[in-house]
Amino acid sequence: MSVATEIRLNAEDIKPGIGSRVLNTKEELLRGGALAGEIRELLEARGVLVFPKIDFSDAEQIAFTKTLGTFAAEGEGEAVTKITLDVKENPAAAEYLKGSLYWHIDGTRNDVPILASLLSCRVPSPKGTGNTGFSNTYSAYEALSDEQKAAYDDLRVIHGPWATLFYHDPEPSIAKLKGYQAIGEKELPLVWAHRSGRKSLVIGNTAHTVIGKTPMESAEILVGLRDWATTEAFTYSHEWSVGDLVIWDNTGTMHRAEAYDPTCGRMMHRTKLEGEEPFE
Amino acid sequence: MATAVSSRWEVSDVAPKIGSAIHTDKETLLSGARATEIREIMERRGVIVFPEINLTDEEQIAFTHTLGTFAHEDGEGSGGKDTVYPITMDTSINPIADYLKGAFYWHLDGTMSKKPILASIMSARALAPEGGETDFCNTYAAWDELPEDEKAAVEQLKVVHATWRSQLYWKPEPTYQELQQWMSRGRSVLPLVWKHRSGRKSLVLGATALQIEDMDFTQSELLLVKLRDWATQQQFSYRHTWKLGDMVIWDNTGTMHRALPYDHKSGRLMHRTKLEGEEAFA
Repeated sequence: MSVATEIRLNAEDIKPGIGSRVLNTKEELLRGGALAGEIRELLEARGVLVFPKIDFSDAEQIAFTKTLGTFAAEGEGEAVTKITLDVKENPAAAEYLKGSLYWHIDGTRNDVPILASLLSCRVPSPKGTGNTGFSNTYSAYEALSDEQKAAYDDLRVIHGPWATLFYHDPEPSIAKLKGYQAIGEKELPLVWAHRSGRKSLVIGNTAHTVIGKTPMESAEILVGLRDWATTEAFTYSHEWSVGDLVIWDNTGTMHRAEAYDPTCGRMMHRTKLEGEEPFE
Repeated sequence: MATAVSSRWEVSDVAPKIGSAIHTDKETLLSGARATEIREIMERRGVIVFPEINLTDEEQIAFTHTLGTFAHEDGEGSGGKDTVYPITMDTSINPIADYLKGAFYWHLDGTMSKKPILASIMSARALAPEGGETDFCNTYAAWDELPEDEKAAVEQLKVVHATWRSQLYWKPEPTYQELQQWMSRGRSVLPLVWKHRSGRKSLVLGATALQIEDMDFTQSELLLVKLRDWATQQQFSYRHTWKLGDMVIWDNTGTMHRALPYDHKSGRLMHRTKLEGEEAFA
């Protein structure tokens, strides 16, 4: 009887407002993608999924990624991207780290941001450093008062990668600022009304101006919501062990790297899922 | 017969477009005999260094009085008594040292008031083993040498200044409560180009500059960064590497300044006095 071999998703909540641990085996996860539908539902519901010490090889991580959606290539073909600050692997490492230390959403320059990132740990940094922080922007929105929701629902925000420059280099040269500004900027809704009917906040370090507000009002809104969304109830900080895999829903979370020694050898392998839904 | 006490007085440039050094003695400074000349050099050169002059606190206060009106610190609880203000990152000496972190970026003092202080006078009491230099740039010279078409394009602009913007430089992700505390320190609208009574003009820039009025934020940032980058280029700048006992006075109305990073536990200690402003931004 085939019923006996049916695989069930085995997961537990990390915190009420964010995160689940998935406890299925590697074999269960890879077997024909039988759990893919449930995993995607859980990802959307919980923002972040941790697969403790699942120990995927690169090929397995790629295969698993493809069970969940459309593999988003970075560079050439289907490959993992190495995330490291080792200057031999990544010459632009220092600059990369600086920008990633602050809360952000990936793809605020695009109409359709990536759906999710999958990050696996090959070499961890020393304990207490190099965690990845996540904030659930669905939970944060849903916990706002009705008055706040009404005040925020129709606001529009200008996002630009150049705004992130000021977080780590508040006195850039004009040449550097021009380089960043040349990347462009984009107007996005402050509140993303997803096709599912759920709503999430679109904030983070690329957000610089709320349209129609003074600079002071604008900062109050953007800092206020970032502060709210990154409070304990809506956040989870993952301390990495070798073999851990974490997936996060980029459309309903912000994330950031926590500081670590660039020379410690920390090595992560990343894959991504193509976006499926525009910001609006 | 007037028995002239021989006093030392040697003035030299420390950089082509900013800064003079005056080698002299305490008695000359405290007599006030050179006060007018010192003020004239300060306005013309932006910064004056008195190498290893070793004034005591009382002498620094007395010297400050020779140059103008002694300015008391806001909220220091000195009860109107003349005191030196300790500049240190040691929170046992200055409990609000965090607030000084904005000083590591180019700024001028008093952009929240109509009439900023005329000058600051700072003496080195303890040094950091590394770092802790003070950078100065001449905002008169930077204006004077801007190309004419750029002068015309910016001369009438007004800029909103706010303390909270400068605090974001060192803490880009404050809590909402911190932001509100910073915001309570006020805002003001200042001309981008200060037309002084003397007829000279200087640029009013720095870390408190939030946004140019009637310009979108992206364009405003581009112009403010461009002008700061211009004004702080080497030809208009002087970096003072402190020796114990050095005293430096700078014209706050025609310069920007910043401290360079140093170990906050190093014990670096500066004693500062100030001269009341005599001219409003205009």
